[in-house]
Amino acid sequence: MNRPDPLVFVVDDDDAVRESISWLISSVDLKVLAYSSASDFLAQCRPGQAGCLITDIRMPEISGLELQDELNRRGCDIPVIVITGHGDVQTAVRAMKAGAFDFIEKPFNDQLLLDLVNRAVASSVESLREQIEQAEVKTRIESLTPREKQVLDLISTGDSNKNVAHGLNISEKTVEAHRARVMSKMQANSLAALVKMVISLESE
Amino acid sequence: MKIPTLFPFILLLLSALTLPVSPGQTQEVAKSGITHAKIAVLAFRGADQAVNRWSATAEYLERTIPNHSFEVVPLSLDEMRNTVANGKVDFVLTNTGNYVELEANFGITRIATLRSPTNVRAGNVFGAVIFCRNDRTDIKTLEDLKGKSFMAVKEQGFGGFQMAWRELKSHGIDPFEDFSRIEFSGFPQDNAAFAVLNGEIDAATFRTNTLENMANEGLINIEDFRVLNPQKYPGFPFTVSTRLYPEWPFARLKNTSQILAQKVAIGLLGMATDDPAAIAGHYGGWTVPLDYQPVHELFRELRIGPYEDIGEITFADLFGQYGHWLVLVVVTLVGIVIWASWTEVLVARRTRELSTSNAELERQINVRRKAEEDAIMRRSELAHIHRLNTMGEMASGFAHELNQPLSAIANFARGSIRRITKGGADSQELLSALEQMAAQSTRAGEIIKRIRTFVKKEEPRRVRDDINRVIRETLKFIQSDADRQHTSITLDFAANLPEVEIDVVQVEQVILNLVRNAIEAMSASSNKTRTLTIRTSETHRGEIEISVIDTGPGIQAENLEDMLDPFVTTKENGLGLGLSISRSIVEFHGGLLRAGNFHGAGAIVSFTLPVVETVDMDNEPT
Repeated sequence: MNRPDPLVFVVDDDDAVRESISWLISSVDLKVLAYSSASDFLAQCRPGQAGCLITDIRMPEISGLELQDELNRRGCDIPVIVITGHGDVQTAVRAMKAGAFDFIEKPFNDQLLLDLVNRAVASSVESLREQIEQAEVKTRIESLTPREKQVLDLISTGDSNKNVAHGLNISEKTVEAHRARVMSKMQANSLAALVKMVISLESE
Repeated sequence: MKIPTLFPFILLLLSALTLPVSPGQTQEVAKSGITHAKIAVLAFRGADQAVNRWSATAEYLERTIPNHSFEVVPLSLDEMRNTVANGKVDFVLTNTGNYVELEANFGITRIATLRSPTNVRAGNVFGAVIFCRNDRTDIKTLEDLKGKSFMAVKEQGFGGFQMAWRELKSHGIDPFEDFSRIEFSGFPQDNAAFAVLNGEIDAATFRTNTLENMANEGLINIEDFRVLNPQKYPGFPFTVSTRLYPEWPFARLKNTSQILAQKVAIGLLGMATDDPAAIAGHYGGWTVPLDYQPVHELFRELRIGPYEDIGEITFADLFGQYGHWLVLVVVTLVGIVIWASWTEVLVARRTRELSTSNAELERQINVRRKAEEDAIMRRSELAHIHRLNTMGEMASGFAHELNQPLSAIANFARGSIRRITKGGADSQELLSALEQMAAQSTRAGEIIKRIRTFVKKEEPRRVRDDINRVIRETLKFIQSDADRQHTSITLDFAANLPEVEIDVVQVEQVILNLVRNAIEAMSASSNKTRTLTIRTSETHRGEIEISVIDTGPGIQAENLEDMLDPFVTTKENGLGLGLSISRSIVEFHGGLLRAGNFHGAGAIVSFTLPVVETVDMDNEPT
């Protein structure tokens, strides 16, 4: 699997703050891209990019909160870390409700921010991996014939071959043949793995 | 040649009159640290009455001015003249007529004018009424009084006779020649009204408001009287037949210490209208000294008081007496000499007038300057308190603003430490981070400096500056607040504006106040677009106009009128001082502050500042 490195995006209109955060993040070997406005960032933002976004809640034009809304609308589920001023607890709570990954009060402890960034990046990588897996499971399911899909539905609920044969009014031998093809097409080496795949799709 | 030979004589006499008699030494005696001062008061109803009336005022001054004692010295008109001539008192409190005489002869200067009691709207001017019985069909105008009997209060009385005399004279009546008889009632002046009512006398005169007072007390029925030559003056509520003249002045002698006089003037002007001293003295406090020139005119016209002697030998008199043959001689023989002499006398007269009005002007300027200085001090103190209050309200904005450079410094430092600890740090990169840290600490320092300058208490000081620059500087205070409220600020600046001469901190205060008001107004409204426009332009009257326009709900019609007044506010936590202080600052700079609604959407508050004349410093007159 050839995926690009995770990126840390920094969006802040204050040059010094933006550059200093970039400087801090890059000191732990993370790749940083910095933008002075939310619209600049949105212009290049693509879904599927692993990483995280650090932004200040107070910015002219588009605020941190509005940026978060816009990302949700575009289906970019990059985790957002919101920097708030001291005492901006209410806005921080709103940020969290709007789906921010976390918030951090300024001025912050550098280790705290870096931990937060690492967690956000890890979560982003993990969620992207899941997305890709789900997409693959979907493709595999789509390669099944209608009869094989019926068999998959029944065996994934825990029915025995006998019950499946009875339910579909076919012979048990035929069920066994279908079942082997389903396992192979779905690239599942056990019934448990197969059930997991089906559940991951249902939870979507 | 009669006229030319007379001129030097007239000049000599005139110049003698303008030289004040030296009033000797004042009575300020330092005794155990207490300065003792004497106030001569005119006792027109006896010494006891005068002491009763004015002691509370003296006590008031003692309370107001520490380490000073004030003594009331009751004097009759004659005693007043001698006492002031000899400089035996420090202050004089006398009637308007007497004051003008003492001013002309002994150079005393008024420092405050009495205000009538608060329940009387007339304020600080008064006049006289000339009246007869309402059923006298034979008396309709002042001219009809010829051959009738007449009663006044006192021959030397200003309101009690002289005011009426002036009007009678201008209607061609000489009270001492043309009446069948003239009587003086003395005090109480009520007697004159009763005499008219009883038919003992045909007509009478006394001070304005006397008839009204008597009617209020139920002593007379006002419909029984008719006021002759009735006059109307805006804001003057009483019937009146004469011109209006200023009330009693409080005056200082020529040699009274300037500092003491200032203290007394400030004390008097600060007296509340309902102060016990005002109540005891039957007056309503004190106001800035009025113009007593109308009184001088009266005396000049009547040739009484200080102008008594002039009356004998004015050019007009001579001309009236000898005019017929003088004209003949002049025209036929030496027209050219007359012309030259005329010029001479005109110049002399003008010079005299100028020197009198110069001295007068100087006195007025001194009193006014003091009052202005006080006003400036008070305004600047109030403005300072307001600035402190503003900074308090903006504290969280400043905390955010300071947080920016401090966060940046911390991040640069931590990032550098991590790189160095890990080893193999790029020294060029580290150097640039260190430079950034230095720059950010300067930035933090500047924020603190700006706040300190703004809240520092300073003497008002004007410098030439570019208003656009001042606005930009001011916006640094408010930018973070505006950001937080999602308010975008648009600058619509005219280019190449001439400079203004301003007290930068005070003008910043005005701009800050207007901008904060606008942001607050918009944050309260549901309107999505929050745009604040600051516009500068040069008006055709040579002023610079600064307008702050918002997209808020605008100003309610009922608030438009009084919103610039102090303590008027629509804000829950506001003091209502912001706009009134802004207005007084703007007016102090010679500008105007106005508020209104902008095309029905949002409010506009503008103020003007006069432009500095471009003067070539080398050619400036010194």
